[in-house]
Amino acid sequence: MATNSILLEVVNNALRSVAEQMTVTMVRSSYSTIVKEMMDCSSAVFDDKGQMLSEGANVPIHLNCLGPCLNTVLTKFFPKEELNPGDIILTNHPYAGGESLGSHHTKDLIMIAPIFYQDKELVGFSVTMLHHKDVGGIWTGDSWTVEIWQEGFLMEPVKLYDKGVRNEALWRVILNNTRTPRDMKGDLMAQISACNIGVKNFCQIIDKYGIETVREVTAALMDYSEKLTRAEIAEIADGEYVHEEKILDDGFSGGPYTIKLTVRVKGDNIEFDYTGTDPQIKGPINSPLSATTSATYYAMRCVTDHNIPSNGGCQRPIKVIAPEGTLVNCQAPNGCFQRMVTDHILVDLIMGAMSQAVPTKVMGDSCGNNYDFCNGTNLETHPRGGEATHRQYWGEIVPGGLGARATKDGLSVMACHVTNCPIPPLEAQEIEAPMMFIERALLPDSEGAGKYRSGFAHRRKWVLLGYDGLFSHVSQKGFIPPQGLFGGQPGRCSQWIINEGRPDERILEYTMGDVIPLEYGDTITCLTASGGGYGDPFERDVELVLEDVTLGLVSVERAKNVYGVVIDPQTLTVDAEATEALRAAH
Amino acid sequence: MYRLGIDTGGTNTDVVLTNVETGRMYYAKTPTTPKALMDGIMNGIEKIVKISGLRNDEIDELVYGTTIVVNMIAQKESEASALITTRGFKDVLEIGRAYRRENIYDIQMEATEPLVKRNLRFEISGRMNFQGKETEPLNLDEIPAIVEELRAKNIKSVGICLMHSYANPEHEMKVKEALQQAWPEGFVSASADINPQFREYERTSTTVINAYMMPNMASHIMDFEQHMEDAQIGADLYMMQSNAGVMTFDVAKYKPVAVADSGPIAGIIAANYLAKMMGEKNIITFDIGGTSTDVALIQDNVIKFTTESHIEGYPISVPSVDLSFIGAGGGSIAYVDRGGALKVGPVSAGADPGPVCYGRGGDKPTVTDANLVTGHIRPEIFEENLDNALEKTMAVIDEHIAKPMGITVMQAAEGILDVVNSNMLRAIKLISVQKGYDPREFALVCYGGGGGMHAGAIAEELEMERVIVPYSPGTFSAMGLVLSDIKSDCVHTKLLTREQVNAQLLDEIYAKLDAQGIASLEEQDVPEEDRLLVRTCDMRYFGQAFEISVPMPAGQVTDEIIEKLVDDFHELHRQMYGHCMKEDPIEFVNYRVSAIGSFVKPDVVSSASAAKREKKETQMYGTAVFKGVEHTVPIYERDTLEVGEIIQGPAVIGEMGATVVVYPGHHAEVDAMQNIIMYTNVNKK
Repeated sequence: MATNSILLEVVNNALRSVAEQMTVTMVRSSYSTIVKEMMDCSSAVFDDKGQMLSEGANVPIHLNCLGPCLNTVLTKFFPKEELNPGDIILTNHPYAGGESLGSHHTKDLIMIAPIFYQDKELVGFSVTMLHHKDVGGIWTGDSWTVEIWQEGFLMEPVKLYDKGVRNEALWRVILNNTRTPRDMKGDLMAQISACNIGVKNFCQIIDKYGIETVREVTAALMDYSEKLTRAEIAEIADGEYVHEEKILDDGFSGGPYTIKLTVRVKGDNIEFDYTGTDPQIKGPINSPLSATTSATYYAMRCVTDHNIPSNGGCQRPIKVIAPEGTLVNCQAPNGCFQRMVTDHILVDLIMGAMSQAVPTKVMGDSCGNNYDFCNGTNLETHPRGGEATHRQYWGEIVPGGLGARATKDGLSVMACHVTNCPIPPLEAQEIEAPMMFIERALLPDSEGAGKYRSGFAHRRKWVLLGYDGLFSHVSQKGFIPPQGLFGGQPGRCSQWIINEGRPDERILEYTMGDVIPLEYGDTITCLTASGGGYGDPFERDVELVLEDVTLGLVSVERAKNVYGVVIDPQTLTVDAEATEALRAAH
Repeated sequence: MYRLGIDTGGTNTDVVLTNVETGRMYYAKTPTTPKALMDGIMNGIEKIVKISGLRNDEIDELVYGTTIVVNMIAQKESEASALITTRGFKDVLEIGRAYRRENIYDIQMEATEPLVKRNLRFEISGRMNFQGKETEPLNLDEIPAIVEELRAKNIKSVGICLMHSYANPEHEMKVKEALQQAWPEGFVSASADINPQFREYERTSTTVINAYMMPNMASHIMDFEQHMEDAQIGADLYMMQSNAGVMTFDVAKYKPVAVADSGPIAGIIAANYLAKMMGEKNIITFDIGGTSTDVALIQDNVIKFTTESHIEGYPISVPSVDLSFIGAGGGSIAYVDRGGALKVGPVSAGADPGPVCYGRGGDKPTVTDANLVTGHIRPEIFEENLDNALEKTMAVIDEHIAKPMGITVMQAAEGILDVVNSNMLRAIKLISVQKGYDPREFALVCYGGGGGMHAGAIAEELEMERVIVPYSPGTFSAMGLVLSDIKSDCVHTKLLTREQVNAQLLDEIYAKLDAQGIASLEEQDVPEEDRLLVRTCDMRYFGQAFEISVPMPAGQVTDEIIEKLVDDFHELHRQMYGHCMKEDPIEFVNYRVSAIGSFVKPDVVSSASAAKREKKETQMYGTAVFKGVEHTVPIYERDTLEVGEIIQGPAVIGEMGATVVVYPGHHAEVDAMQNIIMYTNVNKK
């Protein structure tokens, strides 16, 4: 055992290298903006029993998203006996096998390459997932859907490669069903290369250490992660912690809807029970069970030691109960493309529940997801590429403000919990598509105040310099702002404005909805949500309030009214006496 | 002609002097004096002048390698600087790419604090589009109010980065001129001068680092020059850059960002020089210091570059040597975590108190301590005479590692080495396997105090056949300073599809870049016959976001050259990612020229011959443990080894400040230049 635990660290390093290299290959050679600039792809290596050994994930919602799908494939489609060296299985079906344990949504194509050591013995699986640009569907770009077929073509697990030979008919059918066949081909190639790298490099590890040792060590590695996770759970007081949050809170599509959670801690086991959550709706915001578990695992990793190696062992002490047919375990044929609306709120929900048990390890609510995507054409300025429809695509998963922590402020304009996608360079977007940015800025006075405040929200504005624009937007904090903890104030909601400041200005009533047509010269202003504060803002360090005022992030009025700090607007100095009096009266 | 190299590291300042005609080298080491850097530098010069018997006024050229930029940014020690951006974008610097890079589960992470605070970031009206066309005129009337603020806030230096200035620098140049006129006392850095490539955040960050460092660099250079004058050293003064070339002090004053990551560069230049002399085309350099390990890959004796580096979390997009760095070195501390796993680093015992075996009060087990316990390092090598060093070290490893894990002290010590080696392997894989290179086709060149103890094990693990340990590996890096050339990088961004590219257009672009490069060499007094212009072109498949840098020949661009570029790009893509797409459209993105002014290089004569000592009559032996087995190993003193001597592993070869371990199954040979070449014999097993 002793040498094992040293070998464990050595093999863990080697396994990390494999998964990381798979992900890097996809990011750097892909075509789709959401992959190349936002890293929306992931990879993992599994053992022959389907237990995850290591992952290369930048986007937390992908955490273990590949595991449930692999399990579905092996139990319901391709038992191990039917697998051969050189096979690659492909699927994008969220409801493959009858449950919601397939792909998270139709644009996430999952590829599974069985790893055969010396072409004989099945030793594991090299699995990749990549968010493709277009898989057909009702609209080009993102939209409001009510059933899964509107979200693109569906592919139950099929062999794209059979014993190393590509299924050309399938390949053509896939490329016939996307509006961007060239991009899709490039991205599929990147994904195939990444799978092959995983196969090759895992076999090299076995070459080095022998299959028995690798099995022994990887089993120990999972035990090790389990042990650390259990130690953390054991420190949480036994009991039940209940919390609830709302989505579609601005009333869109019959909202608000409730998501409810009861956390049960007993010894070194923990249970997340979503019983009481509303039924799934006719809309794309339902979360498949695989996505619900990913979001739950993520939140759990956040409130435990983040250095624990990510593998199947971390999940053993965790039980997730999500009743079928609800928002957190949707069933066919409802849409699920915008599952992130639900999945982001799950993190806030878990933080809120856990704040009762581990108050210093959680944070206030955050901005959640803000999607701002558009496409349009302008053959004069952007004649290149554009594929069959000549359309150019742009957009961001817009970063906003994150919740405050127990001992420090929240992060401003930062990718939120389960997405964590970087933003593409403004200049790169303008080069690629007929649009121009007018502003990218921190939004002053937008923070959830507190002893520690949340991060500031994001103000982002652009103008369409093309034709036939199709704009889509999604956010989940339209009416109920992100909540604070222990006296911390709520942050602000998101908002979209078309043609801000012009006579035809239009503030969008709902923070999500169907595709909106835009005309040349129209502008879009996106104001994201921020997060919730932590602790009473009147207890905030006066110097910190002054710093925010000096930096132009908090106004003098807000400093006085919300934080009880009186600052001279001319000299930007604190009036200590007035401040003391004001705070004493609080 | 005499050339002097000075390398100020965190702990020591290394000084090397060479007679360029004879190739004779002299070395000296002296403690770095962080509070007053020039003190240590002058001490070093004094020391080497004494050793070599030279006079100060006989030094013709001086090359200075410094970590001042990294240090000052790490410690946020600089005069206040400001930034001017296009209206609407002053927060780009703070927002960056807005994602959590280090650990996606760490919700307690801190944001990187921007080097210029929000109230010192100004905006100006005016806009260029991506084609470099003005869509809104520049409003220079806004400048006086900005200058007033700069004065009121006592700002010393300003960076300017406007949208799409790489495509058309006109607005940026106008702002620069207006500022210089209205504010002659300040320093100004314009992004179009420093780093004219697209991607506004990375360009802004690079410009801001430059602006941030300018006042300090200027005063450091003035101080340096004054000391030289006082010491009657009339040498031409050069500074090492991150791009593996040097520049004159006059250029360095305006481009301090080019110095940023230059710390490990001299060693890489020296390693490549040595490799060329030995006829080794492909090497991986392996530099183990006290707190970190740097590795770089060199193919066909060409050093690889990247434009995506970071210092202290801030991106820099000027070209720098592509190296991989891990926070593990000889001083890295080992510990057992809560799950019972053995971890090494990144916390280091540093130079003070250092490892337990140094006897300076260190009480945590380090990598060096593990090397001592396993017998891979000899206690004699430590300068101070240590009583009971071995016993003390064993006791500490026992308490911190062996007891908690329930293993023997020896198993614990070997475990520490296994774990740190696996970390170092990851660093090597990052620059080799992950970029499509097979390490088996490379030789490992190791230097720095600790390299020779780990290299054999690392090479065996990667199935590399040869390890080269130069003579005096502890001072090897500094040698690179006197072996470098002047280098100035020029870049132009213009996105063109294959159809839009033609020989005439590329010729125009490269002619302009050539002219810029030549102007820079002229400014640095490089005679015409010593000038060399090296071209590369950054390409990608249309639709990708990352480019691959493809080398191309100098001179007139022809259709054949363009065809070859395209072919080479497909091949490089296949090599890096595993596939290429020959039928897909290709995009040309950046055009680069490196203008090189080559210095005459000395033919290095090993200084070992001078130090040659007689072998002791009786061979010394010691005990060393490898893979749990205790071996009686011969202990050699490096200065007594004969040219051509063959040493069968296991064996330990010691010299002042460094140890080389020949592992069981390996053997070592001493070549004519006193390099030790270890053969892992991996393919014979």
